[in-house]
Amino acid sequence: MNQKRFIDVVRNNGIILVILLLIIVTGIIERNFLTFNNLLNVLRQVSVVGIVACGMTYCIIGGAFDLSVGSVVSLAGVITILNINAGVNEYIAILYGLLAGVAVGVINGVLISLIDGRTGEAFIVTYGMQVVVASIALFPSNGLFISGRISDGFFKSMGQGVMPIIIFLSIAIVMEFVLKKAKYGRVMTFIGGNMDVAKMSGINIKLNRISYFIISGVLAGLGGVVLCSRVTSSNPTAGLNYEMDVIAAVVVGGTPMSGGSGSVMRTVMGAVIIGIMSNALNILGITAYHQQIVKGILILIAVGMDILNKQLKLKEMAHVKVFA
Amino acid sequence: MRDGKLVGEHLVKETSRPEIIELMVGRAMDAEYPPRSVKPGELVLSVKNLNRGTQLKDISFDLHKGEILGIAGLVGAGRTELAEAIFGADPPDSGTIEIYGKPVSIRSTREGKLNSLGMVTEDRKETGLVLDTTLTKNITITKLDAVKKGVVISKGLENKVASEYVEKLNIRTPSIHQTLFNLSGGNQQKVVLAKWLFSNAEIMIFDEPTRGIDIGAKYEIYCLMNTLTEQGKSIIMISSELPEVLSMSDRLLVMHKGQIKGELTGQDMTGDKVMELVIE
Repeated sequence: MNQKRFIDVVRNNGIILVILLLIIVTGIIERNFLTFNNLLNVLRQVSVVGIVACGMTYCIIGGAFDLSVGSVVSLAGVITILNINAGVNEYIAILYGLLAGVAVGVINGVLISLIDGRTGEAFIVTYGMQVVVASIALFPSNGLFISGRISDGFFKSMGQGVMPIIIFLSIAIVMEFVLKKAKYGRVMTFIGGNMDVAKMSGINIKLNRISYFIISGVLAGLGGVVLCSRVTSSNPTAGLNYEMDVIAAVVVGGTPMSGGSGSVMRTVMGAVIIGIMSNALNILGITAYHQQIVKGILILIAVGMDILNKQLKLKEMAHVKVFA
Repeated sequence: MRDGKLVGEHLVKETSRPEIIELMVGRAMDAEYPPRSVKPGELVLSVKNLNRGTQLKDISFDLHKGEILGIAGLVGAGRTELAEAIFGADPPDSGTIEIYGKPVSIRSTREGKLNSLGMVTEDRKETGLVLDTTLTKNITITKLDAVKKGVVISKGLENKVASEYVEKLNIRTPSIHQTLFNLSGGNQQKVVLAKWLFSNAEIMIFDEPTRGIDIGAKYEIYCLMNTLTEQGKSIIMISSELPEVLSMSDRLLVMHKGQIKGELTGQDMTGDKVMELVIE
């Protein structure tokens, strides 16, 4: 019994062990790695992807994917900076950026709900939106990179110091609480676990699902706002291929791609692992291209473990049959 | 076989149905169906002129308090479609539904549930239960508000609810945290029943309630149905098993190709009369 428990602990919490191992090994190889500043840097660097990944986690647990987040990150940044440059009150400018995310989320959600779409349809609809929104982001600035004329204030502070980290972690904590403890989260796990059962249990599938896309959209918008505050400029293609990094964080965090269960805090850990990995590789002098390969391998390992976990679970369940 | 052991070997012509049942279940069964003694009361559900595309044509019927209304028919007759229309899973194009005399509009399963309807679906593994989560969570999903403490779902309240139903319905499981995957068909079906009892469904639609369930458990389900009607609940029972639907129903509707072909009561509830109605 004790042996079984130990394996379960490793299986479920292996991810923390991986992080610790990574930190220790890299720290040994390069002492600069273990400085407070450097680790804080890592957290700050993953904050934007992390914020967006929190939203993606809800989508995935609820049985869908949102491939449009990258474009929303770009669009929100463009809208916010352009408004700030035009003299609009910074809070309103931020709001506009977030609203862009909400609008995309509403469109995604309504379209997918209307066609009663499952995961496959979600892929296609959000992918289509990704293309459309990416084009829209190019319009306001004619595809040009725009420098932000940002005065001191809330917006400026969002991207500096520990603010991105605080924003990231507070959102993650609240979302995790709702997921694990509130009715909304329980309903999400049912919808992602088996949409037909959820429907036949009297749950309003449509409204709930639309909300997952809205949350994903608004968090992508927030990510875009924080990002353009950090780089004090707007890049209409800032979010290009972002969805890949975001999904990677969720996968490495251990949330199953099939939906029905998962954890936002795990996604946080997934983002951190990827961040540490990138940072460690940087310090070790490995080029960006090779880093992509390492990132890819990490994702493959995570997916492989997810599949293995599932198969082991099925095998276990098949052995324990209860007689009437 | 029973419980992993070979309990008997007979030539078919030298044995009988009661003997086989006794070997399967482990004891003699006096009857396969429990007797019913409930007298149906007031009108609880009244469906008038329900239509939906080509699947349902001008369906009208009544359901009374404490009644088991059977719906027989061939596969494809539109019985499940009718159930889904009433419950809100696939709303009708036209027609009216009245519950306790009041007209209601049910355009979603949520509205169906709020109007005291519950549906035990045809395929519990696909549409009735999330098999890879616990018994407890499968029961409380229909009324999560009742197990909340403030904004948070209370594990204590949930567990209490689950334990109550395990006892009330005699659900055989090692624990309330058991994943449903491991429970037998009969016990899984009881969990589905539990979730609708939890949401206080007054009108319950049972679609093939004993499919894939062994004989001992079937009897338990029939007894439960009787108990529910004694407590004032009303049941619509869709079944393709003629003996079952003939024995358990107070009244029987026969459907064919989306229409109600006729209603049978009392002495007329026989397999022959059902077939007569089906074969135009």
